[in-house]
Amino acid sequence: MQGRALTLLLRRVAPVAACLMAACAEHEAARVDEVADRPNAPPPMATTMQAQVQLTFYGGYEGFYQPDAARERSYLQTRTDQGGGFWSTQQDFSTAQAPMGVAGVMDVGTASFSSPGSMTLQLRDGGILVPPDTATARAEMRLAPDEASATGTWEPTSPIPVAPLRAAGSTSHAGTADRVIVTPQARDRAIAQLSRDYTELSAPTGLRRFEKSVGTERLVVDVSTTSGAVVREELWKEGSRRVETVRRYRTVNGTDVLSLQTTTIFDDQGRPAQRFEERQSDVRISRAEPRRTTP
Amino acid sequence: MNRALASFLICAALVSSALAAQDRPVVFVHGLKGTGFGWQPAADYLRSGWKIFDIRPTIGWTQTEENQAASLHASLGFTGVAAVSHSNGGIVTRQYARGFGAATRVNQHLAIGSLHRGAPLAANVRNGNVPLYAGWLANAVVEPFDFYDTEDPDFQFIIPPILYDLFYFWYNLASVYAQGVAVLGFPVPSIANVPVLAQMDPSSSLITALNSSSNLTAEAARFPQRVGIATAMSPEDIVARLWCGSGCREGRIALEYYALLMYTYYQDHPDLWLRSHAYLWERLFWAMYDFNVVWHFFIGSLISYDGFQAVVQPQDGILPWSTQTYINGTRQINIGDKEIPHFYQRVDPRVWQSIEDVFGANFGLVRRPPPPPLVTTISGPSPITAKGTYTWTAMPSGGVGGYTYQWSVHFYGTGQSLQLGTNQAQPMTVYQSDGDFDLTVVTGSGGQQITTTRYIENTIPGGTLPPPSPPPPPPCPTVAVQSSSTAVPMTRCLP
Repeated sequence: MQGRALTLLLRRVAPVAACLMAACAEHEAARVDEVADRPNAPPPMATTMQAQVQLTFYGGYEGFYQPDAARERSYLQTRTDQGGGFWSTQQDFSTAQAPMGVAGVMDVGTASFSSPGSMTLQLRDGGILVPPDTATARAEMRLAPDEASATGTWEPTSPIPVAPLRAAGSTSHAGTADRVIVTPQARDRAIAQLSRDYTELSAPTGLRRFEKSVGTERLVVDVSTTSGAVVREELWKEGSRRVETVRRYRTVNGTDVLSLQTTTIFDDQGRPAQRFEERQSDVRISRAEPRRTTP
Repeated sequence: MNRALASFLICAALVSSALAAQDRPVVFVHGLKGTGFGWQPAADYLRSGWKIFDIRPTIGWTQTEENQAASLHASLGFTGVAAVSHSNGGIVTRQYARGFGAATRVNQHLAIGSLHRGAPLAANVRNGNVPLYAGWLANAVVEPFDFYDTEDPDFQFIIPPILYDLFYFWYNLASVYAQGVAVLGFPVPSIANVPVLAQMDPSSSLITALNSSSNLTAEAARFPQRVGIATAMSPEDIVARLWCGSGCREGRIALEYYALLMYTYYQDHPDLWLRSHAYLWERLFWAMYDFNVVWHFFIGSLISYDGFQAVVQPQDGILPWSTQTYINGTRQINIGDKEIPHFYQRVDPRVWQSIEDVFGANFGLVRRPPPPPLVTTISGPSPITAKGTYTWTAMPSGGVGGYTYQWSVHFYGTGQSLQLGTNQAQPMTVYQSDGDFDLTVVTGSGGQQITTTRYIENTIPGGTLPPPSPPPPPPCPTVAVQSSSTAVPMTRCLP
């Protein structure tokens, strides 16, 4: 079964990866120019990050059922800066819900997460499957502003809006697009966090390796010394490797952009049981014009 | 034995003989997790329209097919019985013919939703696939909530409240395994080891023996009429529809898309520890995505799945049509255009219509003559001349007996309407201020219903309100007539 999964994996990954690395790269270069072509200048504040995302699932269930092929789901993902460090996520699905083909009234066209605790599922026919819960307090995911200093840990430049219901002692985390686009600031943020909270281990050439243990789990993180991208994570539990995530980037005008992320889940015997892939393509960053003041 | 008891037994025997002489005995055979009571609605309906009397034994669904067949035999005091069976009851009835041979008291068989070729679901329960999947699924649902609720202080503000409540409902259950069972809505441990389950396996020796050519020939001799009925339901969300209705279906889809949004959220979280566990959401997303396909696999209706489109054969949520078809049967009715899940087959009136069709066309049963039309009059005083309590009585005739009543009144004096009692007689205290009133009774009998209203005049002294004045005549064309002496205009209708 694992051999079959690997065969399927190779069959499906190879052509797509080749496309992404060669033919698609030229097309996408234009898309990320806005960020990537001026690596030495402070990146402008990003207002919208858009990408075509394709998720693929290889594998079966506990060994008793192995589908004939991998499952795929594609969507256009748009993340919009709503100001104050708040972002929303919207996923637009161009095809009907698989796997049963015809979903009728349950055909979800858009899934959005405009504020935490408030998910909206909009059906393609205009109906609403899950309406937004406007009564829920805002405590949105905050992405790090790109104007943050290239050195040092990012700190909010403005007070963080605190939800009225937020429990005392809770911490808020700035979200980031660092996984997708590896800017110098992203690299510095990753290294800063790893140096502060993780233990550095010896690593093969070209990598820096860090680890952190929490309870029975241990996380091992590999960072590329060249790009600063987190290119590999291993999650161990009770001495056994359970999850491995590998990221491949393509360089567009000097900036590394995520092309393929592969996550493998291992069974109790250490054999690959399930494999998830995420491909990002057609990545676009649009920015807000800086405010101009009149003399 | 005293004389009274002897008389009673003789009377009972006479009544029984009379029934047997007039009406055909029909035995209704239940299936897995069933009892004879489960057939009552269908039996009541069919008995009212057909010259039959019903036998509804409880034959012990956990026992072997052979033991259940023996219980069935013991419940039959007549020969020439028509059998209507559901699900595993069909296999019990077929095994009855196989095991009892010439002693079989059934000579016609209608099997509804039966597993003539065995139940793949039974095999998947026994070989551990269903329990294994239940446990895996429970983990897939619980783990992401559990991890992020523990590790991310913001999580409680991120999760929609409804999902938060749902999660803790599951989380508070005793064990992950129990959660998986609950997710499936299928009490796996309670039926996993019952003897009959092994015999429901498509590869069991009993299923093989029932479908051997020699047995099929013998069965045809015992049951000259062998009819199968199969129903179907949508391929989508079959488990949800079977166990918790459309709300559960929407919940599954909501969870699927929520998991995807959470995957996106945590995959790009700046905390690498939280980011490293985002795969938990991706796993949940795909678990919900494939949920129905896996169930189709379990019940044997999955033909192919290319990762996007699943091809399935018609099924009722528990059994595919390939096994519901009566092998070597004389007639097969497949109800594919209506949503009828397996466990609703016994109580769905659309299935009852097909049963009636088989009763007439295949079993040669006779319809009861239609009951006379239902008529009701209201007897009682009118007019009412003095304040007091009076009683009115519904006087029904026709129908099939077993009358029901619902009384109501409308007072013209106050304009008020009231719901009254449900007995045949309706007492009511009448006051002068009530004015005249309408007394209405709705009488029911069998499937018939009739509404009867009687106008009661109220002439109690002290200012009885006049009856409603007749409406004014419709306007008519007018013409002005000029009086020669007074010159006052007058109007009158034209002829």
